[in-house]
Amino acid sequence: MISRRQFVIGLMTAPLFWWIALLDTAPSRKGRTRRRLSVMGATSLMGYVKAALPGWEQQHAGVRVAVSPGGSYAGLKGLSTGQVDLALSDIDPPPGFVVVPVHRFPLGRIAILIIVNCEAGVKSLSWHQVRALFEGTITNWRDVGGKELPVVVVSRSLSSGARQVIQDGLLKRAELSSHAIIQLSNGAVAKTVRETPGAVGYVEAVMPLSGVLVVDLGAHHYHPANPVSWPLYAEPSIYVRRDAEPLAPNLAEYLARGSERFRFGIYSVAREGEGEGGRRG
Amino acid sequence: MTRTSDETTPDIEVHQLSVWYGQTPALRNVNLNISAGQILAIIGPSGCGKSTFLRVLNRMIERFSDVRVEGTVRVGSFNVLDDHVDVTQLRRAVGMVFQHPNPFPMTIFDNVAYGPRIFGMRSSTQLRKTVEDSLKQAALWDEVRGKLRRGAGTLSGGQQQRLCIARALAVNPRVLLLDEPTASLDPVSAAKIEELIVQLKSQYTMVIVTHNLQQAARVSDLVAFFEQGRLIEMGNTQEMFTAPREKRTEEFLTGRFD
Amino acid sequence: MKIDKVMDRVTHTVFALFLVVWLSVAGIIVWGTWRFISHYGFLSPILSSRWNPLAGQFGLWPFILGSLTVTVLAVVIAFPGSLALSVLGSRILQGIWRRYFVRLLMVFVSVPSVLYGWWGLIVIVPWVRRLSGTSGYGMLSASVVLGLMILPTFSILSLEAIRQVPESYVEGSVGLGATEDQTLWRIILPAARPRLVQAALIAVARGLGETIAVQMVIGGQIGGPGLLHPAATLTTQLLTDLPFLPPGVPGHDVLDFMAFDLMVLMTIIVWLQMRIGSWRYE
Repeated sequence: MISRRQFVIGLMTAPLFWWIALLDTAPSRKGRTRRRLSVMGATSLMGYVKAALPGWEQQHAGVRVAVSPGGSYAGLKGLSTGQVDLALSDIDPPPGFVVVPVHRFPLGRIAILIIVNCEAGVKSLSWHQVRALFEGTITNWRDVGGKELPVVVVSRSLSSGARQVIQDGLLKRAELSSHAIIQLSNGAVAKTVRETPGAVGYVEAVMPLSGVLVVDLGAHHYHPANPVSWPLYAEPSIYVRRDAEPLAPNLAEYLARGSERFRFGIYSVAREGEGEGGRRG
Repeated sequence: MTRTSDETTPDIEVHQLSVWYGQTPALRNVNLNISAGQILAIIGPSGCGKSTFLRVLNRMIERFSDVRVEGTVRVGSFNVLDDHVDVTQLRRAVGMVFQHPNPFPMTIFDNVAYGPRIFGMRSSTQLRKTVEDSLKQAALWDEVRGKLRRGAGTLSGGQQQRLCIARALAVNPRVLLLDEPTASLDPVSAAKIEELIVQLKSQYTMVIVTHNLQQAARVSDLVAFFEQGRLIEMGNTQEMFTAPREKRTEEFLTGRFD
Repeated sequence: MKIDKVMDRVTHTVFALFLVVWLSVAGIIVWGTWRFISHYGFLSPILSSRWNPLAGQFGLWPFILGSLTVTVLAVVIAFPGSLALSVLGSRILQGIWRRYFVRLLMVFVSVPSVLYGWWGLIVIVPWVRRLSGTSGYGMLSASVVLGLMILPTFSILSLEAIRQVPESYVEGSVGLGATEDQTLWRIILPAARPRLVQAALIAVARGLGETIAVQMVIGGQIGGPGLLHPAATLTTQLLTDLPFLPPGVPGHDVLDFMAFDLMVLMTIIVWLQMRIGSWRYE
């Protein structure tokens, strides 16, 4: 018979035993070579990284790579504190954000597309018109040659790299409309724009889009097969600490050169882009 | 409700009453009559159908699920078991007091005024008069006057039971059913309730279920002894306690009951 | 005796350890809050409406207002239906119908909140859009989704509240000639009122803490006054800006402060609930 005290002690200390057990099985940090790598960062790059990893893991038997989304900022912060070996980021870290010396491995570009709901009745917009739409100064589609329909702006949250590109490259000093609807992912933005009449939003071109209209931006038309001339893009990179052990930069380099990038909307350009809205890398 | 005090026809008339809970019989072929203003005490071992009988008289029995009742029961002008009888008016005419005092969670005044309000009394002077009269009748007035706005829960158990009696009296009933009204009270409070019952005698026809044989002897005019759902014997209280006709009754009364 | 005493010591020590771990979790939030308050003050961020963490502006008022509005409105929306369902389940349905009714409510309680949010996206948002001509994302949609989400919980708690009313009250009332309906309005519901209010407060607590279902339909932006504009609550803003303000970033402390505000709101509700639970009729 278990006494009531034994019962309480047993149940309350159980988490402690679990913790000790976990400590025991986890490989010691000061071992020989590190056999585990962790990758964290921008959600828009997760698709590509997960697809490319098996190839690298085959070459490096015994090394396990843990991938966790969490956003660019969390990835970069994790890199600074040493919790993460590779940070995926589609933003430039703000000054002072990353406090340790790092290597940067540029991946290329991801096009940021302006999408509108099919009922809006527009196929192309000028640079100014898009800016005014996102700013909230144009509130009806008839003002840009569309139907009589109120404009609904859909945006990502502040932590998104795409939002940074729109802010820096398109809105500049202006602020996003305070009536914008915030969605947490590319998919959610696309879905909202597809289902809300009069909606306009932006997505990273990392997935096929259906049910929405990708508008021409000024003279630019987006060709999935040849996105090089498209003027709005993020420039994702992989960051690795300078003092990291060789496995980490090795993986970063592998990812930065991976041939599968294009399938996930990541393309490289021979020359540095001259796009009007692109950020200087 | 006008009270027709007819001496010749009994106030309560029960003929061939049988009750089943599902397949289990609870009462079998009960026949009895009670005249107006009399007190009938029902005694008998636990589970003999005493409470069931009481609950038939105001049709509270139908709150239990899966009950079947047969026979005829007449209370005053009500043909109780008739489908078309106005149950609301029947219960108004046949008040009930329960084993455990069950005052509502409201003030003393509102407790007594509950019944009259249900039956549409709105005027506050009328309500006040009814409440005062009922409390006086229930011998509680002297103890609660000036405290009518207090919660009923502040009263003692015995006071609560008298409050419940006052609540029942407030709708001007003809019959009072008392289901072991003193079983949960201390002896002093129980004595007060008994005294009250005796006082109310002749104004109301009463049926009291009790486990306390002395109490039955003290307050009642008639005694009915039930056993296993059958009415074994019924008669004048004095005769029953001194010279019961049935052997079972005698055994029960003398405590030689198994 | 002696063994017993030792065991008693160990039990107490273990409990103390547990308490320390638990308190340290709360302590992390309080510590972050303290750092935030010492930098930005306590009242000014609560009362300010400018939210721009990049520029060091941490006005939380719109979120607090959003949390309270959405939650209170949700409870208001859910209340009549819950009361009706609880009366149905406790005083009308009998036997097997009642059992299955309660089981059905349990099923709805266990539906994860994402599904309610998803359903809000498919049904409520277009409905509000058609009705109002706005985007459909906003506090109204969030309140409706949240209201429907807390409806089953609220109903079960109300049902319990009504069931707790002693049958002897009902017998007393019915025995006087009152009908079932009169008994319901005059005896049962008044007697159940403290517990009904408790049920409402538990529903409020549930609503205050809900994040994902609300985020999916509220719009996530301080859109200005009115129920039809996008808005945000403390929890949804925590969710959207968590990746933006990871630990170590200067603005991170504001998340602790927001969590702290939520904790304070919850504590107030729990306190109210305990006060009401001790209501006795005098």
